[in-house]
Amino acid sequence: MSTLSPTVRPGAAPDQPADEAEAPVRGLWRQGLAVFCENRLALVGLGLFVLLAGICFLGPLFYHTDQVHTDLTAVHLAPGQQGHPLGTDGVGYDQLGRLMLGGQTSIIVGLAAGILATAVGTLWGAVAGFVGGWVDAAMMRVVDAMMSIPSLFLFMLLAAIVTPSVPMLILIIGAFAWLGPARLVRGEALTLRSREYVQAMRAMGGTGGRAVRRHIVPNAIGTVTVNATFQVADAILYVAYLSFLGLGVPPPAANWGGMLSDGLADTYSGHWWLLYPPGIAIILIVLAFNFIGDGLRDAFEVRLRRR
Amino acid sequence: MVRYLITRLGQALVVVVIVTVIAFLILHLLPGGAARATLGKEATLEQLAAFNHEMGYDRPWIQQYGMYVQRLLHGDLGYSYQLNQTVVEAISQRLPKTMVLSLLSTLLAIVLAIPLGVIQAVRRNRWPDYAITSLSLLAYATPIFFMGLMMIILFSQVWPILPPEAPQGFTVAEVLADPAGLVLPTVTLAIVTIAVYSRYVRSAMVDNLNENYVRTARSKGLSERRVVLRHTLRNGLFPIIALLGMYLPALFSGALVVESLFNFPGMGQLFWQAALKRDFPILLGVTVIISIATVLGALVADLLYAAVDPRVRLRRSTT
Amino acid sequence: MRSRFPGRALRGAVAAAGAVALAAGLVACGGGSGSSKNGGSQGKDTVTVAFRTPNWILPISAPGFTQGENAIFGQALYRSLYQYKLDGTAQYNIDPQRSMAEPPVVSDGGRTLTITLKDNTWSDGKPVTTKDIQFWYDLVTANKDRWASYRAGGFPDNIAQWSIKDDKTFSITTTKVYNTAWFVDNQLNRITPVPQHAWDKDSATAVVNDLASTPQGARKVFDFLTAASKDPKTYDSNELWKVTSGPWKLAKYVPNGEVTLTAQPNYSGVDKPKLAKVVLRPFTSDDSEFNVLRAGDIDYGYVPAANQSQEGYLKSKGYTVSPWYGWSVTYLQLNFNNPKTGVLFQQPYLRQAMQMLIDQPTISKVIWSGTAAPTCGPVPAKPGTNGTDATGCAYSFDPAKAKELLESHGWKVTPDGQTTCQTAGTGPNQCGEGIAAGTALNLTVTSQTGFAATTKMFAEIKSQMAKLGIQLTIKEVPDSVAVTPACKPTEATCSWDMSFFGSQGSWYYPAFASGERLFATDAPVNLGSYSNPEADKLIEATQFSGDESTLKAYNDFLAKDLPVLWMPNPVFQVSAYRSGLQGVEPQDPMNLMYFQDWSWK
Repeated sequence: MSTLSPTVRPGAAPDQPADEAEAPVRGLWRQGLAVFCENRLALVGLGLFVLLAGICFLGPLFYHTDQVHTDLTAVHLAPGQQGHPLGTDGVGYDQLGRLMLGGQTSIIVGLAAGILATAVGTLWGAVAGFVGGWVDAAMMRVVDAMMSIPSLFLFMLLAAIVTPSVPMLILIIGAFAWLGPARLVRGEALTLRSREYVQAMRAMGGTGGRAVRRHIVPNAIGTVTVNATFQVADAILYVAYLSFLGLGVPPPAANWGGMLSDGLADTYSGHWWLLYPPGIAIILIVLAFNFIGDGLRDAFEVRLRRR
Repeated sequence: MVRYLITRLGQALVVVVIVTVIAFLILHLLPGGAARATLGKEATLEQLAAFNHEMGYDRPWIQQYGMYVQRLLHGDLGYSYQLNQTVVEAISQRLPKTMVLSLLSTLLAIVLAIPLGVIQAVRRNRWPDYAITSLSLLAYATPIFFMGLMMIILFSQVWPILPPEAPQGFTVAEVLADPAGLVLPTVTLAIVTIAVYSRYVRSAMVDNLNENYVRTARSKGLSERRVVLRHTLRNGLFPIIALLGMYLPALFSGALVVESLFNFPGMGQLFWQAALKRDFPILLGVTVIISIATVLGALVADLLYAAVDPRVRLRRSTT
Repeated sequence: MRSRFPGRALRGAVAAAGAVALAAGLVACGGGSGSSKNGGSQGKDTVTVAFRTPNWILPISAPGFTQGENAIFGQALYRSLYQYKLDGTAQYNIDPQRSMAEPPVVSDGGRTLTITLKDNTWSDGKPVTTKDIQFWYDLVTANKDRWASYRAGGFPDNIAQWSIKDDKTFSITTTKVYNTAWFVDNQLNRITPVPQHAWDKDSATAVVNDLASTPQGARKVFDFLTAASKDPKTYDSNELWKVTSGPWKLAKYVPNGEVTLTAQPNYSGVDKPKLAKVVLRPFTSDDSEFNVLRAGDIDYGYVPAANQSQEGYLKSKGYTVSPWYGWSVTYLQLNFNNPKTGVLFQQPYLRQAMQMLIDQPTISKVIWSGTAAPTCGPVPAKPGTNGTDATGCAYSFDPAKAKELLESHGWKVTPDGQTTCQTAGTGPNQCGEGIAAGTALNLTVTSQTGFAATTKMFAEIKSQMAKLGIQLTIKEVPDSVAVTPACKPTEATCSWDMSFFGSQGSWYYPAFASGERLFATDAPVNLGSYSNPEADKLIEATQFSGDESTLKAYNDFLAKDLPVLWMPNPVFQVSAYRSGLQGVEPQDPMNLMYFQDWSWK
């Protein structure tokens, strides 16, 4: 049995004309999808995500609450009182409505920033790790430099200059979050590029880009998906931190991370409905992405292992 | 090897210089400057001007940067108006505390994360994996503040067996002299790190357990334990190395939330308060230190890669 | 074949975790109980107080070092000439017991004040004489630029003559006739005797002589003293700081850490310390302080705003919970110099309408849990009369009246939309000078992040304003003081509309609550550049006229004219102290703490 990776079929050069090589690849996509669906947890994750997104984006169409006007006569009502299923917060906003509103921002920012950071970071790290030499050095030194500049005062400068908005938040979070995956993936790429199958492929005339695309990235996918899950969780919580620095969407806009930090102040007061619902919502969405990520990784492995 | 080290150190120096220039520039672009934030709202215009003159903020920023570098090379990081201390004094007062806490929590995290990651990988998609996965994600998504607060409530109020605050001393000896006080902050910090590290170990191990060389080893009749420990664990540690490399700066930057909650004034608190009060000397001083730590961390990580995987060559690749 | 490895790994991990837990348990038992050895009262003659570490010891304040903790620490070691109490009983609000001199004798139509020192001694036995007052005066006169309390035209610029009669009496003649109450409360409060016999030199090894009697010499001495004050780690060892006049001496000082004061045995004042030791402990955050308070490890602390609900729990643990009302007002600054919105703020009816949309009583009761009181005007309410209702305020919460005001001045009010100016012009029912037709009421308020109560307050105000079509955007930044300075319309820094600065937007007054620093034209802290000649006249009257009613006239005028929007005024803090601790009440509205009054039952 050959120890080379099965994607290198003996007797065929890797750079075959498209139509002959792509047909089995399409089959691989379908197979990957099938594997994904077999993974029960991945389906649960997907379902959970759809459910949460549905509640947050479609919910307000059915469940109307006033999220603009405060009502100081109905402050800190417990769940169930006066028709508020999850009670009210410190200025009288309905908590369930708040969760829906906050979820819209958090899900969009979390997903978009997470994907942005992961995509940029993975590519950067893969290229750096694979190419090596001075390109690697330069690219990684850029990463080092950006990691050293404390984001804190850059954020303070930005807060004074820009008008905060959701796209701005995504850009800001993404602009710093890609550094982590870059380092991680570059580490993977370092080892992978010296693996036998890659060397064999190069020896047979395969290009670097192909190697990155078909070998480095898919093999690093495990690390990447784990990281992506954390990126989403980080992004959601990071919005609260940025709001503190003046970069968040101004009140009375909501986001789960911000609701959670505000709810923390209510730990002793017994107003549990201000603390646990946003926390649980964040945990659920993180779990959902984690399961989806695992499923994706299994699906990618199919493409490599060719079961 | 020596050439490699020298090249890397040279690159590190370049990075640090660029970082300090950028940081300097950002601080001086901040609208409002440092004077009002430091002297308060009652300060008169003359007092603000005197402050700006004393600190050199009324000069062109290039000149300020030059003066700063000159003093830096003599070991003088400047004087913090807010704290009424030199920056060196302020940092050296806080650094031991931060390092003790950071080192302890990372050690604890590694010691627990690696076995947990291995278990998750080997028992993949069975209940130990699900259990640890769920707990990890729960730990990760829970804010550190909440976790710390729950610990304090549980272990210093409901069952008063531990103190509600971290050791109050300033030297390493004083901090270690109160081990009871160190337990809660260390565990709080470690829990999140464990969650993250174990997930990466799991993932890397899962990848490797399906590799051909592992199948070869198994088919040769090696015991599972040998297979896992000898062959795959080494490769499974790769993401950990990257994470540790990224972690080195944290030794110096501290953990703001834990410090704040447990009354443990370390580097995190120092930096945060300095940012809020526009204490430029402290901000720059800490930035210099953290940037040095960051590039050194990357260097150490790369050296560890080579140590763990001999196929990784440090010299220019021949491929 | 099923491998036994994972099982063993699992067991290994469990064993490791168990070992860690066991070690933690042993360490916990070995290290002491929940009550740490750092806190708690260490006996019946010690008290531990939650207190930010002071960082300035020289009794001449420096810019940037005027925080409350420095004032309290300063008074513990170096008493000022006069102490004040605001209960209305004392002449000029002077506290006769604690002050180091008798109330001044006024002559020459109010221009000359003659002050007689009481008998007091320094900690080294030497008497406190007018030489020490002269020394202080020489130092501040020659170093005005480095003195935090100096204002151009104020002390000592307004002293025409300063003469020492004998070693217990001196007299001050002012350039103009001042309102004695104002002068005594807001100018003489700066005088602090400093030990001439120990400090009048320019280096540690020099011999004391009359160096400060010349301006150059005074600058040298001040340099020397300032340098010593910029070296906090020597506060407890430097010989200079061992000569004190206060009831406490500094036993131990850790920069950014704990400060220990012990009773000064030969303190010559009447209010002798009843305790032997006071330990001042800093905390990194309100949360950590509260955790320690809940655990019962501190004698005097405070309840953070978010944890007001815990009052019952603390009481059950033997603490007295007592709000500490400060001599302060709280307000929202309006930028009259903003090139776009300044013209809007110039219109009194618009200011009044906005003030009527701030529901101070409800905000105080609900958002501040009753620990705030409405601010009606620039002069704070008499201590002890703080309720949450707004009786006496010129404008109460009245959205209907606000709507009417806007509509009667040519605005088209669109509830939950955009209210715009329909009839521009300067006529009586038109928008006003400089306001073009179609101008919308869109305002931004810059406030400080990190305070839940502030965020809630502005959410409520925004909601009320939205109902009348006034769109308020809330911009929270961590450094609001820095980004909303006083400015000219052409400057780039003048783009702010409204600002709520500092942690709660409050302003704390000296004993005489006049507005020369806040509301006079070009006053140093008049960040909004409010300017009204009538107000200037009234402010001048409070400073210069001998008439007691000037303060009321000034207050009533500004309460109506709205140089700023008045906001609910929160307490300084909600103190929590062990019920056995006596002498804490009444808590000084001017935010000083007199530890010498405290004792254990």
